[in-house]
Amino acid sequence: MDTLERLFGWQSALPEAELRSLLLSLTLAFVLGQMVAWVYQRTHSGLSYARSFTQSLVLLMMIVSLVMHVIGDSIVTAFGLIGALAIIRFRNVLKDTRDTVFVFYALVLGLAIGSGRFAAAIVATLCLLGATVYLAWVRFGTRGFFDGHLSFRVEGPRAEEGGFQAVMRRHCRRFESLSVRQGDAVTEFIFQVRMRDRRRGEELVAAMRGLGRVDDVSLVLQDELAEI
Amino acid sequence: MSELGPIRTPLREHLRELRLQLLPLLVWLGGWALIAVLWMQTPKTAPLVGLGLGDEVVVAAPEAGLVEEVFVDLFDPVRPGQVLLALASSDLDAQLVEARAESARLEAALLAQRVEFELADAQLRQNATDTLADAEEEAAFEQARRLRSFRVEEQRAQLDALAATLERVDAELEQERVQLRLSRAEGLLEGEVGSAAEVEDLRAELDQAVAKASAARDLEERALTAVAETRRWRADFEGLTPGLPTSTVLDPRIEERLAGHQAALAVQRARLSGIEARVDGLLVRAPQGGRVASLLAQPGETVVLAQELLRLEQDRARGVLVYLPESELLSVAVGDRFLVRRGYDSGEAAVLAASPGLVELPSRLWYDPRVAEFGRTLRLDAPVDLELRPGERVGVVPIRP
Repeated sequence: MDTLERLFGWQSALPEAELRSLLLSLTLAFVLGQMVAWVYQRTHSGLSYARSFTQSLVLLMMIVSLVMHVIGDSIVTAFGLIGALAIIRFRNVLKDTRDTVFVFYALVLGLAIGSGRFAAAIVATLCLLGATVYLAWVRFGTRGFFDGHLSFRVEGPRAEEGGFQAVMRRHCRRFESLSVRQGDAVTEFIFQVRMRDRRRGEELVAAMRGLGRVDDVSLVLQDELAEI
Repeated sequence: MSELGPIRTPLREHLRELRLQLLPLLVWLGGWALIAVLWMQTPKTAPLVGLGLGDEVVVAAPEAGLVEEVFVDLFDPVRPGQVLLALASSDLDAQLVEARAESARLEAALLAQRVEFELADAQLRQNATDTLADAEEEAAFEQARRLRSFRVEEQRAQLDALAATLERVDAELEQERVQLRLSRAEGLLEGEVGSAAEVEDLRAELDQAVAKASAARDLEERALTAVAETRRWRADFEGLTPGLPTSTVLDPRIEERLAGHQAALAVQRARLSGIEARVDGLLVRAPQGGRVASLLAQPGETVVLAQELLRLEQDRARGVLVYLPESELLSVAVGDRFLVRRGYDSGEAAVLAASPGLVELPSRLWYDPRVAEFGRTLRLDAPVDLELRPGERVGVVPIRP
């Protein structure tokens, strides 16, 4: 705190109690935001789920708590924020919720700096950016952890006896059937798989092709799995 | 084909599993632990309530009357001596007219008395000169007597003129009085509390007073004309008979005899000055600089003597008054330091004084507006680096050493 006082002057420095209060608010917003995001993730139904939205819930909660610290009792600052938000929204079409969060964050940070609260701006930046990187690093909001899709065709009747389950159990921790299309002489399967070793995907494909009745094997692995 | 066992899962996959599955849960729990730590370090007592303390001056009405115009608005800055509002007082105006008329009457009376004494003195000297035995002196004094008779005539004319002036002043004063009574009666009639008959009577009386004043003015004019004529006759006689004594010596005791009238005139002039000063006071001025905190009178409003018209407050608070509720009493000594917070700004202040006993807190600080609360008050000095306005609400936290 002494360093901050020397760097930014007395009026800009944050009293220790205020720093503690700011950290408490941001931390509580972080943990409660995760609870909200988890419940949203578990209870969401439909096709429109997006991991970025789930992460945005957590970040938004932290940003709003920072807004209340910056605005305080000042109605002038509050109206300034409303005006800036309105202008930004009017001039830009924000497609993604995450874009909105970052725009909001830039506005609030500008407010904090403009009103002389340099220390609060620095502390909040470190906390918010750290939370953003953390949420991206742990892929917060991902529903199920699958590495990719495996598709293949089995010829002949009783395709379930093609022996592919054993191969898949050898190479995959988990696999779930996405679709089965039964033809006259061919059955087409699509599984989403979680590999035991992502780098040995070729071995899985080769092993599947090695089965007599299985052909047209395709394994698609992705870092960012689009939830559809 | 015999089923082969699962392939070995490398360490990086385990770590990845840990990062994606277990780490968020651990971080979440760690967040709660951090919250618990911060919470325990956060002081539990809510900040105390303080109010900026500044000098407030009440500006009261110097006279009863009607607020004619207000020249300032709420929160306007004012300079010392600046005119704030103007009052109108019909009673004071009537008193002023009456006092001026009375002063004029006393001045005329004083002058008339002086002339009367001079006339009596001249008569005495004329009687003295009539007994001279010497024929030459008798002839000379006969001339002087004739001159003095001209002077006597002149002084009689002056006396008549002064009497006419007095009559004229009296008549005009009476006319002013009737005019004022008529104005009041018409005002009451407009407000539907007066009587039309009274107004008619007063109008008739006013007409009589106007006629009387006009007649008095005519009489005064004729008397002044007579004075001018007698002066001209005396001057003509003096021109034909040079060498005659032309001045009479006034009896020095005359000034002593006029002292009473002069004193009465001085008293009346002092009364007139006082009324004129009160009329000047109808322009209410700011006793000190500051800002208008509250406006309690509006144009057209009738005010009484000493009624509050507005309040002025200084621009900057000179201290903070802190209220300690009874439930939060703590040991405080003079010199203890407190942190005064307004929003995100703060400054330190020291305790200057503390109330020895419990006092009733301001009603706006009560939790239940129906139940009075008590506590102690602390007086802090002005916080360093934090400018407060009088009456501004701030939060105050004790600084523990």
